[in-house]
Amino acid sequence: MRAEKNKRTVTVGLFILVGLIILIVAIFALGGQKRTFAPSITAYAVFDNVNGLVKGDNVFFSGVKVGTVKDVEFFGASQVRVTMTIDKRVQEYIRSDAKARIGSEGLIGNKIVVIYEGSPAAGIVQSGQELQVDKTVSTEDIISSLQENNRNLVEITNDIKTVSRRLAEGQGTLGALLTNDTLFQSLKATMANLQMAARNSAQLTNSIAAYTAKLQEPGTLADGLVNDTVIMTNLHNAVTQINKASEDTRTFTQSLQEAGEKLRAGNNAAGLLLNDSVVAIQLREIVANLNSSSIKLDDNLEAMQHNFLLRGFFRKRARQEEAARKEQREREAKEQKERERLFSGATGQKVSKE
Amino acid sequence: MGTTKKRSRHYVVSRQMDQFFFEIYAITQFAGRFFKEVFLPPYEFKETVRQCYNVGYKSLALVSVTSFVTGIVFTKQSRPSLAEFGATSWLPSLVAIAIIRALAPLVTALIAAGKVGSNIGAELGSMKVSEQIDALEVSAINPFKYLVVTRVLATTLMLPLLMIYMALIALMGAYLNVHANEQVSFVSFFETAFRSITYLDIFSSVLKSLIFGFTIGIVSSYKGYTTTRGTQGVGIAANTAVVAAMFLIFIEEMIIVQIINWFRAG
Repeated sequence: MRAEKNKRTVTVGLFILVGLIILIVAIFALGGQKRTFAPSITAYAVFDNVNGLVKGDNVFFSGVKVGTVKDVEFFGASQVRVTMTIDKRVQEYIRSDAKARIGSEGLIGNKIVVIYEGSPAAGIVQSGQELQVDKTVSTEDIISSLQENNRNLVEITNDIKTVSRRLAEGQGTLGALLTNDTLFQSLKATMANLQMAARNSAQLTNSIAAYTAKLQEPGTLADGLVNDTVIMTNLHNAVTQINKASEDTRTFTQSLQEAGEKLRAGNNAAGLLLNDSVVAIQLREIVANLNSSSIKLDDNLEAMQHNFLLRGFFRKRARQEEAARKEQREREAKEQKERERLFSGATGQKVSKE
Repeated sequence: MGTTKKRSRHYVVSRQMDQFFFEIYAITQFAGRFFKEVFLPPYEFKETVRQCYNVGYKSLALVSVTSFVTGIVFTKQSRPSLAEFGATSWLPSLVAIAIIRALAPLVTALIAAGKVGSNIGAELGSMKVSEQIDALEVSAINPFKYLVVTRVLATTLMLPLLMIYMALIALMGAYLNVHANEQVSFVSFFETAFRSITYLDIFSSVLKSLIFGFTIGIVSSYKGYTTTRGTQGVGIAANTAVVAAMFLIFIEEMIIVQIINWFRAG
């Protein structure tokens, strides 16, 4: 009986102990999650509207839960001051110019306070500091925006309704296209023409491609023009020379023009010769007189040759001329002989080789 | 006729109503006596331990099975509602809130009321009708202290412990179901589950269990301790002990939830 009682006592003790251990573990698990026993700092934020945020909701920074909402209380005229408990370990990451806004864990999830931004230049947030606040996009805002979209959708649907009714009734260009056979046939013909034009275009494109390929063949003029740098230099030189030649021609033409103008003017010898008929007649007479004079002079000179004073001179000159001709003939004969000798020597050499 | 008038004048409202009010008074007096006796020596420590063994340890198997099944079934039944809007990831949170805030204290109390309450009612009732209580009094043992205080203490202390076991086992059951369907890891499940739980939830559940335990102990002891009409009375005592305890548990649950919600909102 005593053993039985002892066993019972031990069992009850064990039962109580295990139960208490479970309770303590649960409390510590909860404490670990809510970081109740961890050192923390307090920060404030004053909102116009907290959208249903309550005590115990979470505080997030960069998507990580860093604390909880400790208190939500009215402040000033109609604002709400939210007191947040933030884990001291993340204090160094939150800047003093960081902002706070009310967010949501999902579309219909719990409300949360989101701390964001903050510049590295600003110092770290201090305990008891009030964070800046941005206006939150509330569910009401989203719904009103959706309402606006709905109204637009209704208008669009009405427009589509009107368009489809007009189409069905055959009004307008598209409606006529749907209901009018003639229009359809002519469109069909147009399409056929377009197809033909497209085929022609394709052929044309092929021809152009072939032509271009030929142009690109090495050795052609076009290829040389495009790819050969020497041709280009030569062309450049040629053009320069042509330019120079044309410049010279222009100068020459200008000189000719001046000469012509002078000739036409008649105030100089050549102009006078060309333009004055009296001078021409006088010149002709002069030429006739000269002709007559030269005939007479010829006769006189012939007569002089037979004069005894001059006869010796002429005979002497005739002899000298005869001697020169003879010498010339002899030299030519000598050269002929020399050539024949050279030719016969070369032929004999060729024959002996064969 | 004259007798009826005399009788009707004897009752304040009616016989049943008067009896009901008297019962309330008697239970309150019984509870008051408990509080007076519990602090006065001698302390029946060994008997208290024996009762703790009976109430706590012997109920553990039943509570475990029930809580395990409750966890699985509750998770299974909650899934379609959450799956409708793709929120099955909230299942651990939902189940944890439901189990820790409501199911664990309530189901444990109902099971204990059924098992322990009827046991106490019947045991004390039979002792009463067989005049064992009178015999104890004669042998200089305070029967109230020996029989009632020990049992009420045992139920009051054991119910929170049973509730803690129940919550853990029910969460295990829920985890098995969630793991089978959503392949959530053990750590992730409990992480999510505890995310929505606060100290207030645990505190309120422990408080509720204490009150439920006390209620079960007091009501069933009172019913047994005041049994009349022989063996028939024993059955009635056991039966009314369970019914009254369960009824009071629901009433208390409602009131406590209301009070806790004031704290939660505040």
